Amino acid sequence: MAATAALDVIVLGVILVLGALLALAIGRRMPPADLLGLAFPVGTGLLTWLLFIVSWVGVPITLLTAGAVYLVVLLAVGVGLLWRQKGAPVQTEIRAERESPRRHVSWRLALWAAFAMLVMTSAILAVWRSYSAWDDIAIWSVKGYGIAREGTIFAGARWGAHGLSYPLNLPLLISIFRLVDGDVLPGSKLIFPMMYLSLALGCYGFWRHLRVRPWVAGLGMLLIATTPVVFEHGTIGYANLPFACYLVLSVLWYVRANRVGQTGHYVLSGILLGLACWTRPEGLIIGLVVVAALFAARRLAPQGEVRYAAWLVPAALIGGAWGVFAALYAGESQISGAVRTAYHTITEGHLNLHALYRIARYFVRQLLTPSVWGMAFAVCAIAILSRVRGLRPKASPLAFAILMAALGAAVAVIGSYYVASFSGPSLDWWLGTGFNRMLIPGVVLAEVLATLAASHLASPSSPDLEQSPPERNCEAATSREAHS
Amino acid sequence: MTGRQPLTWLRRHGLEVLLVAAVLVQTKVLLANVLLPAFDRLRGVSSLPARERSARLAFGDGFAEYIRFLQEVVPSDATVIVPPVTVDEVLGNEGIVQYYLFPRRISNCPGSLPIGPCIARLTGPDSYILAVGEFPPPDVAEHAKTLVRFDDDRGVYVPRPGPTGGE
Repeated sequence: MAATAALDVIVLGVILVLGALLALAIGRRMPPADLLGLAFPVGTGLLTWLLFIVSWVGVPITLLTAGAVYLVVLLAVGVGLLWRQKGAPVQTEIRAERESPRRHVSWRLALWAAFAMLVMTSAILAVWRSYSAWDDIAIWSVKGYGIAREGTIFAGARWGAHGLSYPLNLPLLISIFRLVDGDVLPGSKLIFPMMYLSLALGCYGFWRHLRVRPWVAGLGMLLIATTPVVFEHGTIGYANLPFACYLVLSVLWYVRANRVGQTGHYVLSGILLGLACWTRPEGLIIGLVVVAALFAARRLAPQGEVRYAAWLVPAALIGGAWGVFAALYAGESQISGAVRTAYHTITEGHLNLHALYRIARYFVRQLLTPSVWGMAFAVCAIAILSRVRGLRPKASPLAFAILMAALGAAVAVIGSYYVASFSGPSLDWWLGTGFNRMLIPGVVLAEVLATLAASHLASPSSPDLEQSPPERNCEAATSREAHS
Repeated sequence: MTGRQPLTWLRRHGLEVLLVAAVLVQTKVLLANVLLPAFDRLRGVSSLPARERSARLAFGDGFAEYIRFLQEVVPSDATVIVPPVTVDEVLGNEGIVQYYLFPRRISNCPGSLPIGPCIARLTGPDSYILAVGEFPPPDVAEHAKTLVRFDDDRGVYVPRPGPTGGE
């Protein structure tokens, strides 16, 4: 058992190294929190996506194949990093605000200790629970085991529910653990606490990049990590937390890219967006709505130049490859069937507006239930309303973009349930089985905003989010230097 | 201290205090609603293998015992025929049964088809049929298989030994 646990930890470590090097190669030097926040989601997502492509062209999935794909990517990243180091030494990215070393040290230590305990507890619970929630038994784990057994992604059609209409990011990742040691613990359950860790650390890195004081950033991190639904999903094997991790980090890196104008940040954001589509079946729809919300935010508060190609091409490549595969092989999915039914019913004049009322009522009730969302709603509502002037598009385009992304994610979920209300099973069943977990990205983005409000927007004397011209210029100059 | 000072302090730090309060309340909720109940449930299953832990936690001890019985009776290269979900939501779910009986092949009769002819088509020499409640109709299964009971309500139809085993 100890040997198996050690093997699982080695697998995680190996993936973390790959992800960290990829993040460094794309996003350049970054603080440890950013690097740790990106390493696991990027490493796992790109590794499984490449395995998917390799399997699609007919190469069997074995431990050897996975190792070869890993080594090829590692080699390419290594060469890229070396080449860059020789060609154009790059200055470091914006440094987080330096603070007096003694101030709040004990607070910060306590916050980090509490966070470490939460992550450790979620890891222990995750493995201990094994796969014991409905979807993680019936879909994600068994698809991974089937793929490992048959050596092809097409095994997903025969193993687990929903055939090939669910993206294979998690099943392929689980199949790697199965190939390595049979997944007897199951070590693959560590994927979920790792995503939990990455999501919270990624948000922390984002706040620190914006000069949020460390102890406030630490509190924000704990606010997310102790939100009951978020913690729960760090211990069960559903795809919602990994999806939330990809989508939230994608939005935050887009906002950062807007701020510092660095192409690599747009690429990171695009990769994460594509990986969100590669993780949940509704990822493409929610991703598109969030992108539309970010476009709208930009129209209302123009700021700098957006490098659309760097942002959207990686997203389209990763998400699009899955979309083409699903269109070719998945047949009609639950989602496409529901959309078709809703379209026909609406065009016949039956709008089913009562469903919208029921969804809104359920939404509010759930947000106000402490055992589900904790204090998230209260904190976000108070923080956002009390700083509403600071959130105006012109006052802070950055905060406004996050607000729009949060609203976009929530509206996409509400829209999905409205569409689902036209087909069976009943709307109550749909809401009861998935609504809260679908809301995780939107609520976490709102928590990001609330923490920003508690810091940057809190004091008139604090520098505004957007007003740090020396750094912005420095970053832009660094970026130009690297390009030249 | 002037009257404005507490107000200014509250304006500057009120949201930070709110964050602290929220984290404390959420930690308490987590402890009471998630962590303590979870550790309570897990204590009894900690020494079991992953799939048995899963079965006990997800569907209870009776289900886990039945799964262990099936794992012993059904060879790993066999095909298992499960009831429609209308008969049993859990045992009729192919994905769920695939997980617990992995790597056995799982097959079922969709609810839209008449069960009798469907089962008759699926009862090959390597197939085992889960017996759950009224499923399968005895007249369909018993001419080709032998029922091995787990309890009053559940069991499994296994191929008959000998030259007429199976079909």
